[in-house]
Amino acid sequence: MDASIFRLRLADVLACCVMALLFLGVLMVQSAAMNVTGEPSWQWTSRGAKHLLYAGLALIAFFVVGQVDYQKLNTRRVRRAPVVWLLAISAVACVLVLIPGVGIEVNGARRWLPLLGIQVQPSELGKWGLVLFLAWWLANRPMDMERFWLGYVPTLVPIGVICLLVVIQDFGTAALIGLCSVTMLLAGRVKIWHLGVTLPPALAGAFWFVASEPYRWRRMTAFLDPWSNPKTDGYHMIQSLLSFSSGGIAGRGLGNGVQKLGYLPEDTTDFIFAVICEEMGLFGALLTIALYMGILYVAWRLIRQPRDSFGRMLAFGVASMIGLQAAINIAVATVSVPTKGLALPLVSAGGSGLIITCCALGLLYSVARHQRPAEAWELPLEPPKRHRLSRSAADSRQQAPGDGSQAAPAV
Amino acid sequence: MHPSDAIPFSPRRAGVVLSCVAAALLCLIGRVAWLQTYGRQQTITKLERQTYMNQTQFARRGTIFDATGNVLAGTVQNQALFVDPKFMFECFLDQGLTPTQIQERIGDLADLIDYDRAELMNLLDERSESRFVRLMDSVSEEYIDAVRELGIPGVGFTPVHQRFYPMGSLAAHVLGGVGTEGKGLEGIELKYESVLAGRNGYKRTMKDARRRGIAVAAEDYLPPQHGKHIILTIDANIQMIAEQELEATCMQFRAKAGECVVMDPLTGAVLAMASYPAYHPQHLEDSTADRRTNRAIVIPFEPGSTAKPFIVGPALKWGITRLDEVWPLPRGGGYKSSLRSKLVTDVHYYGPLPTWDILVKSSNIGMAMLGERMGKERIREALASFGFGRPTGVELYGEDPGLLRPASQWGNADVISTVQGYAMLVTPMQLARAMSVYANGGRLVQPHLLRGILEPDGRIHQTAPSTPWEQLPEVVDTYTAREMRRVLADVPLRGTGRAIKSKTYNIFGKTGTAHVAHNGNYNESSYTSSFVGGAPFERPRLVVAFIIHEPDRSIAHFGGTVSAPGAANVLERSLKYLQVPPSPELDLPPEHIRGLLYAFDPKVYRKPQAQLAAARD
Repeated sequence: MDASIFRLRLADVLACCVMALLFLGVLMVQSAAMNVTGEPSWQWTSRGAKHLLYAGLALIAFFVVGQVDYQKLNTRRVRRAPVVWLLAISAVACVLVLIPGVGIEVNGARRWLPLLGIQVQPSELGKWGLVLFLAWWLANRPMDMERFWLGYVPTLVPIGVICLLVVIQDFGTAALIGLCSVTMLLAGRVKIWHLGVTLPPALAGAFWFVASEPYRWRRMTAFLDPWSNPKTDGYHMIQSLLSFSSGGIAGRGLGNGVQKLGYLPEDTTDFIFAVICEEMGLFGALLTIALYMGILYVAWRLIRQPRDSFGRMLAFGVASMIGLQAAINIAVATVSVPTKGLALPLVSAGGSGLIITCCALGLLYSVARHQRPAEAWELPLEPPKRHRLSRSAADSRQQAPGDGSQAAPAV
Repeated sequence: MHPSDAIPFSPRRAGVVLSCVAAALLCLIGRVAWLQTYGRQQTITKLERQTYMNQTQFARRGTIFDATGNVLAGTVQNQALFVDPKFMFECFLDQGLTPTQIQERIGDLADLIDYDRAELMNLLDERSESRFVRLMDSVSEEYIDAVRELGIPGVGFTPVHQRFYPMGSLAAHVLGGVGTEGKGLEGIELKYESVLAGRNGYKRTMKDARRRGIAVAAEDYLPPQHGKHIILTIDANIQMIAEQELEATCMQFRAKAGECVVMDPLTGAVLAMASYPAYHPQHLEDSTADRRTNRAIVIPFEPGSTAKPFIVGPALKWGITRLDEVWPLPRGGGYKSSLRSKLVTDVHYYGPLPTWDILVKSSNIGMAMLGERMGKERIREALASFGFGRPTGVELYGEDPGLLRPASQWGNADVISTVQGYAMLVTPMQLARAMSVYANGGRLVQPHLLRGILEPDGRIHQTAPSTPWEQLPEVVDTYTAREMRRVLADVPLRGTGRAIKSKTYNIFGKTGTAHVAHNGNYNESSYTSSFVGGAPFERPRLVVAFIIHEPDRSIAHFGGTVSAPGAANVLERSLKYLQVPPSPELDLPPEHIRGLLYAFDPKVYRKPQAQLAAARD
C-alpha cells in the first residue's frame, strides 16, 4: 500500500464513512427525539443518549472486529467453520423468538429476544449470519456448484430456512435477505440458469405470501396512492412526503424540523431519512447517500483486487447488504416502494442491530486491512496454462514488497 | 474461458450488482430533489394545514359617538356558544350512551338555551361531521355557568364582538346598523365601514401533532388594528327631541311618514336627523327596507309654499321687488295668469298685499305675479343658488339630488307651479340648508354629519368641512338675509304659523302645504305638510326642517297646523337644552310697511311679562 499520508487507504475511507454515518445517526436521532415541550435548555434526550451509547459501542465493535483477521472465519472443515455455527445459532434464535414466552412483542410484532440484558433482533443475526455463511460456502465450495441437485440446491437450503423463519416476523427483512442472497449467488458464480429456474418459484411464493392476506396486499399497494387512505395505510407515507416538502431544497435547519413533533411516526428509526432531509434539505440527502456510496466504493475496490475469494465474497456480501438496505430504506422514505420496516443502516436508532451491523462492517474493515493473495487451493485445478501464467504475472506485479509477509497461507 | 472465470468469485458480476445498487441510490437522490421542489407543490398546502393553526385576531369595531361624547354605537365582547358535534358524539360513544341517553343530554342543553329539543337534535345530527356549530351569539354569564355545569362534551364558548346600540333606536337612520358578520349595512356604519372596521390581525402558530402550540414566528403575527372611532355632529339630546316631536306629530295626525332635520346654520353641522317610522339598529332583521330608508336625504318631495322664501329673497337682492311693494291681489275668485290656463287660487283672499305679507300669508297669487315678473331663468337661478337640485354632500350613501330642471325645459305653466313650490323636488336636508342661508346671513353652508375621527391612540382628525366663511358661496347679502328673517318671523305671529304657541324664542320660518302627486295627478286628500324655520331670530342658533307626509285630512293638513307646532317644539326644547336665553320682544315691522300690512296689530308682538322677566335674567 501507498505509505503517503495524502492518500487515504481503503480501510481509512471505510472507517471515515462508518464514523460519519454513526455521527449523523447520533445527531439526527437526538434531533428527532427532541421536542419543545420539555426543558428549554439543550439536553440529551433519553433516546438520543441511548443511541449515543449504542453508537459508541458499535464503533468500538467495528474497530475490534476490524483488528481480527477475517481469515480466522475461513476454515475448510465444515464442522469447525465458525460461520456455520453462527448461522445455526441465528436459526435457533429465529425459532426461539417465535415462542411466546421468550420473544418480546413490540408494536404487535414479536421480533426481539432478550440477551444479556439487551434486546436482540434475531432477524439481524440471521441476516448477517447468512451473508457470512454464503461468503464462506461460495468461496470454499464444499460441493460442486456446477451441479444443480448436488451443488446449487443444497446452497439454497440455508437461504430458504432463514428467509422462512424471518418472514414470519418481518417480511421486509426477509425480502432483503433474499435479495442480498441472490446478489451473492450471482457474484459467487452460480450458473445463471440455476438462478433462472429457482427465482420464479421464490418470487411466486413471495407474491402469494403478500396476496394471501388482504391487509398485506393493501399495505403493499398503498404507496401507489397514499392519499386514498390518509388516516390509515397512507399515513406514514404522507407524513414522510410532507417532511420532504417541509424542508425543501435548503432544509429547515438542524433541529428545526416540524414533522418530528408527533406527525412523522418512527422518526428516529425507519423514517429518519425523512427527518434528515427535512432539517438538512438536499444536502442531507446527498451527504447520507455519498457516505453509503463510499462504503460501496471501498467494497468495489476490494473485490477487484486479486485476492482470496472469501475476502472478496465477504466484502461484496457486506457491502451489498448495507447498500441494498440503505437503498430500500430511502426508497421507502421517499414513497418509491411499499413501506417496509427496515432501518437505515448505521443511522437509525436501534441498539443491538446497530452493533451487529457494525460488527459486519468490521469484517469489511478487516478485509480492507488484511490483504491476501488468492490461495492456491482456490484456483481452478486445471486452468489453461496461458492464462495461469498471465494471472501469476499479474499477481506478482500488483503485490507490493511489504505485503509479502502477510501472504502466508492460512491453511 | 477467462482465467478469472475459474475462481469461485465473479468480480464482473459483483461489480455490476454494486453498480446497480449505486445507481439506485443516485436515482433516489433525484427522487428526493424532485420531492423537495416540484413534488412540493402538491403537498405544501396540506403541510401548512397540518402544521399551523391560523387564528384571526379580530379587530374591534370603532365606537360612534355623538357630538357630546355619548356612545351611539359601541362594540362589546360577548361569549358565543358553539358545539363541536363530531367530538361530542365521539365522547358520547366512548361513554357508551344509548341514543335515548344522548337525546336526553342534548335535550338538557336545548332547554337551557331556549332551543327546540327536536330542532337542536336534528341540527347536530345533520352536521355530525362538523367541528363547529354556532348556537348562540351572545350568552350571559349565568348561562355560561349553567351550560358548563351540564358538562356536555364538545360544548364551548368563544369570544365574539357584538355591536351594541345603547341608545336604542335613537338616530337609527344615521347610524344604520351592522349585519351578523359585523359589517356595516346602512348609514354611517356602511359609509365608514373601512374606518370603523379596522383591520383583523392574524396569528399563525406552529403546533405539534397533539395540537399544542409551539411557537409563533415574528412574521406570523400581526396584531389587529382596532377600528377608529367616529364622532358625529349629531347631538343625542336634540336628536331625541326631534324624534319625540316627530313621532308625536305623526301619531297625532296619523301621518304616513315624516322627517326632521336640525342643523347648525353657521357650520352646517347636522344636529339631528330623524325619520319616521324608525327602527332599531340592533335588530335590523326585524325591520323592512322601507323603514330603514333615511327619508331625510333619500326621499324627495314637492315642498309647496316652503320654497317661496327662496324665490323672494333673491328677488329682493336683485331688486325685482321690494318688501313694501303692494301687489294687486283679487279679493276672491282666483287669478288668471297669462302663463297658465288653470286659475291660481289662494286659501284666503285678502285683497292687495305687500310682498311682506305675500310671504307671511303665503299667497299663491302674489307669488304667481312675482314669478311672471322674474321669468323662469331667474326663478331657477334663485332656487339653484340655495342648493336645490343637487346633493348636499352630507356623508351618507344614497342621497337624492332632488329635482330642479334646467329653465330651458320649463313650460310657461312651470313658472306658476315652481313659485308655489311644485314642479320641483327637494329633500328635508336641502330645505334645512336653504333656511340656514337666511339664518346665518347669506352663506350656503356644507351640511355634514362627521365631526371627527378619533384614532385609537387618542388623536382626532378633524373631518368637518373647513372652508373659511368668506369662501362659502354668498347666496344673498347679509341685509337681505336679515330682512327675510324678519319677514319670516312674522309667520308664527301673524301668518300661516299661528299654531305655534311658543313665546320663549322668536321663531322665523315658513309653512308649506303641498298636494301629493300620485301617478301624475294631484290628489286632493293627501298632502305634505311642512315647516322650515329657525330660532332665535336675533342670533339664529338652530334651523329645522319638519316634514309630515300625508297626515289624516280629517284631523288637519295645513303645514301651519300639522308641522309648525312640532317644529316649534323641537326648536324651543333644543334651544332650552342649549341654554340659549329667551328672546326679547320682536321689533315691529318698519314703519313704512306697517301701514301696508293686512290687519296689523302690534299686540301680537307682546310677550307676557313673566317671559320678559325670564329673558332679562
